[in-house]
Amino acid sequence: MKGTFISSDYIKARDNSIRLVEINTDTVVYGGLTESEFSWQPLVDTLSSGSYNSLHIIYKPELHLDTVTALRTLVGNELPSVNVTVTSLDLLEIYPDDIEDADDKYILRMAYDENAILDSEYCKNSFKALQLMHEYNHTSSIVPFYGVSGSTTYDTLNTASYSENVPNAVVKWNQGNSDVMFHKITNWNAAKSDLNSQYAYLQSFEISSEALSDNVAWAYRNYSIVYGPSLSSLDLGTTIAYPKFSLPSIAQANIAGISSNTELPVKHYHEFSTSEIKKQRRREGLFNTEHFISASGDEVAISDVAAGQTLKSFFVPGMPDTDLAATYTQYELTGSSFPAGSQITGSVVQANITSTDNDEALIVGLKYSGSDETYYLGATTSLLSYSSGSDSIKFRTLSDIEEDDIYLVDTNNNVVDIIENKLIILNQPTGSFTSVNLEPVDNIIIGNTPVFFAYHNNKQKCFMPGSDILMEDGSLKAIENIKIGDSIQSKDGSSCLVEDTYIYDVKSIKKMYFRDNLIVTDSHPLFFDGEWTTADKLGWDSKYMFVDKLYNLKTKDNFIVEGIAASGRTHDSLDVSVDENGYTKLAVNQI
Amino acid sequence: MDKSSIAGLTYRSKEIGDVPYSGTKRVASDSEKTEIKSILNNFLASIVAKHS
Repeated sequence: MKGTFISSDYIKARDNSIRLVEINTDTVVYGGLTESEFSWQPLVDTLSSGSYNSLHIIYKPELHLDTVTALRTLVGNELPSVNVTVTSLDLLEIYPDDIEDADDKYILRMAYDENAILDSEYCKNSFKALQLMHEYNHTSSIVPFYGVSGSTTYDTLNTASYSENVPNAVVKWNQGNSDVMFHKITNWNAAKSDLNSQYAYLQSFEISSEALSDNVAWAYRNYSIVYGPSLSSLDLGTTIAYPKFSLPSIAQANIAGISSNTELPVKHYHEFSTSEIKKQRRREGLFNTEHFISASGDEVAISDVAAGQTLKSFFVPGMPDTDLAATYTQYELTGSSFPAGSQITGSVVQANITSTDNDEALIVGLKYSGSDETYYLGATTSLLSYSSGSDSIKFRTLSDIEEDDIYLVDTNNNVVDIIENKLIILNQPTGSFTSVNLEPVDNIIIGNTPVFFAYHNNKQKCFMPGSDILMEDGSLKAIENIKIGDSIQSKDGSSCLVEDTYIYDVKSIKKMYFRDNLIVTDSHPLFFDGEWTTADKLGWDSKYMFVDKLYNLKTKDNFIVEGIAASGRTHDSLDVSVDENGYTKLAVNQI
Repeated sequence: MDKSSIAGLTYRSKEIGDVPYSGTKRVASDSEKTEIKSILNNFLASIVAKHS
């Protein structure tokens, strides 16, 4: 049996009807839900009542680790004879390998699969889900919407405005992880004609009198498993999700008073959306207010960091030196002490800093017990921290640290309370988040010892010029000559288009890995011997060398470089700019 | 950028974990859960109808 784990979002509309907004895979179960809001018990009951001897879970540790751990514990306790196995995938993987089914096996897929119609047609593109429901006469069960598909125009919008301080329209992109934009529309005909209907569609913003009375735009979220040829559903629970913030006051935003079509500033996003902070955005590292720390303990301004400098870092014996989140998010130390041999050290900066623009106007302020200073970081920064609940030290994403039982651990292995982990919305997108590539350890130190923050530091993932790419027609073309729109082959032999090209102006000494004609950075995901891995994990020969420029490609899935499949998804959703030489440059932290 | 400038840049802030709704957190009623399950099943049946 194969089952797909999904969530679906619903709002209570102004007429108090419940309406579907979208369906999601790659969905996260956030903590704090009661048994009645979410439970794996219905799946365990299914396994128990069937003749299942094994459960195989396909998941993404960055999204699902805690949930999968809970499921494995439950199955282990109630059905000890059921063998549980897993396939763990990188966050941006979209083609999980097919797992062979069997009568006694239950395969639970929690990861997005581009080959599945449910995922690629209806989860990736909520417009298609609404079209489908409209075509099958379920219009009263979906959020009112407007959009154009081919020669068909769909228009079920409710164009009335609210007297309260809320928008009346939402613009959504047709696919992908792009966030929505909230609007106040006063001229609907103009809004429809101005809409780029090839890429976007409109939804009415619906909010019930109950939510208005609560002064917060809550919504419903259901968790289910969809299984079998008839797409049956196994209900795991329904919760009410809340935005990060209550509705704005008139003093904060006079939306009701807006008199022309207006897209609301991004600062209002977390007042009207129940979406969590998307890890795919990779807002990692130090905000502009912070400093790196030199090996001697001096503050180093972000703008002064350069390749060859030595910065303070934290070495933990046995910690995987990898950028594969599927690996480092599963790294866990039992107890509240770092292992013997852990130490503050100095690590050489391997490449110049990389920065991610703060497009969401969102930062996190972190303060620990005993210090008056607040440190400002990106919301998806992975922080080395201790949980008293699980009695373990591991990397935890800042935006996920909601519990009261998360602490820092100082260099003397004392547990230090986090007294402030504050989500801060800025008036407008300001600043950026910065990281550097350190060797040989990944953990950047900020703050002063004995208390410190150590966060995982991602690195560049690219190829040297001259690396040959396999084109659709079977010819080879050097990576530096590849252009956007070129058609290349992926590992399954299918062709796909190059969506973007990246050139990094490195101009520094960098450790590169070699295999035949391939020269690659340590952590670019490569498909080798049947699994995704990296050059450093493979133990390829390496040496430090001067690197002028590095290159990478963005493709739908992967591409073949020097005969080896390489992930083309590593720069999804990131921002690029064109430099003074006309080169496309990544303006953000490489992932 | 100086840390003291954050206050001037700030629109709203709170500690993660604070539910913005000050009252009791709402829980979906049985009738609401039933209606949601019905909508989801209609959606899934529509997929089967369209693609079979």
